[in-house]
Amino acid sequence: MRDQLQTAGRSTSGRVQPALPDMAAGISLKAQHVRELMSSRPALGFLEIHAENYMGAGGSPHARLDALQGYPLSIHGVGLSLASDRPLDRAHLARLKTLCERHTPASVSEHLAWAGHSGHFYNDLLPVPLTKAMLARVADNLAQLQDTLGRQVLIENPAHYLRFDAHELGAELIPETLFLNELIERSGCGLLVDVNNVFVSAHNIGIDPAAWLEAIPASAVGEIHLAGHIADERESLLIDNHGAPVSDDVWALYADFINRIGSRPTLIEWDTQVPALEVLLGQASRAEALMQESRVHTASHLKAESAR
Amino acid sequence: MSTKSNKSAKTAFALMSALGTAVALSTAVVSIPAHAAGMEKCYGVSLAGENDCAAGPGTSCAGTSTSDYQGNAWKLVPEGTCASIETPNGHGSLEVIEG
Amino acid sequence: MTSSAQDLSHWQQAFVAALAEPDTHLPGIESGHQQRLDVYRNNVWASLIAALEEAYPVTRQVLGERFFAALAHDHARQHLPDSPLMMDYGHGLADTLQVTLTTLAESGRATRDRLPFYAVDLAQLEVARREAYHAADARALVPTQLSQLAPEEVMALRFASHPAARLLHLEYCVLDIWQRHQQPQATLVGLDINQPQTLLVTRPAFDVQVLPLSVAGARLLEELIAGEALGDAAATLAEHYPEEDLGLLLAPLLSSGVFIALDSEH
Repeated sequence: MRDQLQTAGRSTSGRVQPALPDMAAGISLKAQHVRELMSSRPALGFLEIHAENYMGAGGSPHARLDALQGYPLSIHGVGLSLASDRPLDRAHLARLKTLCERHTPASVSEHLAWAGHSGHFYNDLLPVPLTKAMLARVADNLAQLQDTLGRQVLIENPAHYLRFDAHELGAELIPETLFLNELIERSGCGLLVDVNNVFVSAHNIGIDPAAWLEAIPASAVGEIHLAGHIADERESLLIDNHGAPVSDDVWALYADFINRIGSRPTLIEWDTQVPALEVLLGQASRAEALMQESRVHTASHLKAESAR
Repeated sequence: MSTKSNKSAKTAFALMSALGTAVALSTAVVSIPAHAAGMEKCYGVSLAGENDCAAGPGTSCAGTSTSDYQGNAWKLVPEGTCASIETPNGHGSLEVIEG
Repeated sequence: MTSSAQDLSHWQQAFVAALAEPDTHLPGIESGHQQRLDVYRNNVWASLIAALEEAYPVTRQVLGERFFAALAHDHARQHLPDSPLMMDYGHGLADTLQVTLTTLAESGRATRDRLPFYAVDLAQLEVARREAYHAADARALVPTQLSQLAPEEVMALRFASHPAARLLHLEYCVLDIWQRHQQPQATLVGLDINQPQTLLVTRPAFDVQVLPLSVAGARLLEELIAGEALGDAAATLAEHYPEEDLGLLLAPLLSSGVFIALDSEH
């Protein structure tokens, strides 16, 4: 399966596409950091952007990506609505294709979520009842997306804030990890595992985060997201606000995860109350250090396994 | 015929001299070929009109479960720097006229 | 459509309806978790308000944060985004503001002449700046390109406008307001706002520029961007504004970035 993923960087047309190295630690690219990134050129595994912020015709945003093209790029879509009730918006799909052709990303990802309905866009990742009908819909949409881009796309697990009522929905609910396994099977997509989302969701809807991480196929994991969250007292919820350092709990969960499956390209995601660049770089270094440790750990783990 | 060509020659002369003035006066445009190398040097990191963080679905700007946004701007009055403007009827600060 | 697909569609319809109505019960969510829909309500409205705040920073300062947030919320409720591109969102805010101020004046809650109707023009300037910032790239005309031309070429010269260029005819001098708000402790004290202004917004490279034009200068530009040859535009100007110096009118236009380079394909 891992072998399959390694070749996933190859497009269906046979053209080799760049891929992120497994040990890469990256950060979200923020406009306020561009000048410093260009002058100090810190060592960084990759930069990630929200696709929709770079879908304008021209100007600074594109020039910024051209100027920083020494860094591998990850394009992370937030507006495609893969889990909407209908086929993908062709115009938006075309914009994403144009963007990928213009800036040749090493990785492309989207969410298991919906954000639009009846021609309106709500600017949020809305929750998805994971039913059979939804599985068919998302698998079709993912296939269309991957065919259009001519490459594999990684799909991200969103943060959950509420539980569905299967009885009221009148449909059986599929556990998320099973749903993701099915999607991988049907569409050949990869996974972007947001460890903070797993942690936040586990708290909010009562699942075991470690069990969740064990239930997804390690070989399909193409990227990991780490982000901060905050506590909301009114509903005793954790909220994925991308506006704080990664919590110690999430670091621990991440370390266990990569010790088990090996390193994966890891992003420090920080979108609100964006701090100084050095703070982001510090968080990325911490992820990198954990990846270095995991290499030793994974190797000795494998040795012990084979000695048995 | 000849009057017309005289006239257009005159216009052309006036235009050439106007253009000469214009070119001389016009400060050189910051003409950076949009795709040229050397981008780093000239690249203006202009943030105006950026709307960069706005497209971050899945992240809560406010990060809470409370949703109590006040709409109905027509029930309020503007109270920003517009209050510092002077109008013929005195200072621009507004107060809600009750009743 | 299969019935399960229809169910899905109906449920999503009900969900977005619930976004606009606090305390509404949405079938399909556990009863103890109904209040948690507020997280999504919050994300949706807060992020749309934030998008508008970011798009209209000076309009917001002029109107005040509280008023602007309420205005942005009203606008978002009436006009949801029609695409995921937040850089395009909220171009109609000026209209919402116009209606709001008119309602305020008509309700007698505030007197018309003290209400900042000029902020409607200001919002138009800010949205034009944003459009210019994201517009397609093109090489701007370099004035010295024109020095090599023969007289007959100059007479027949036609310009093509740059994709970022915007011409605004405004009732108030909002460029002055905008400039005053580029410094801390902005104030409008001493500003006579009631002067019409024609503004040319350009982006010759990456930075957006705004240039006030005289009436004659704006006329010249309009002739040229309508595709008139320079000789004809000059003749029109000479007829309507005989006292104006063509060279002085042309100079700022040539260096503004409003035209693309002569050898550009268009």
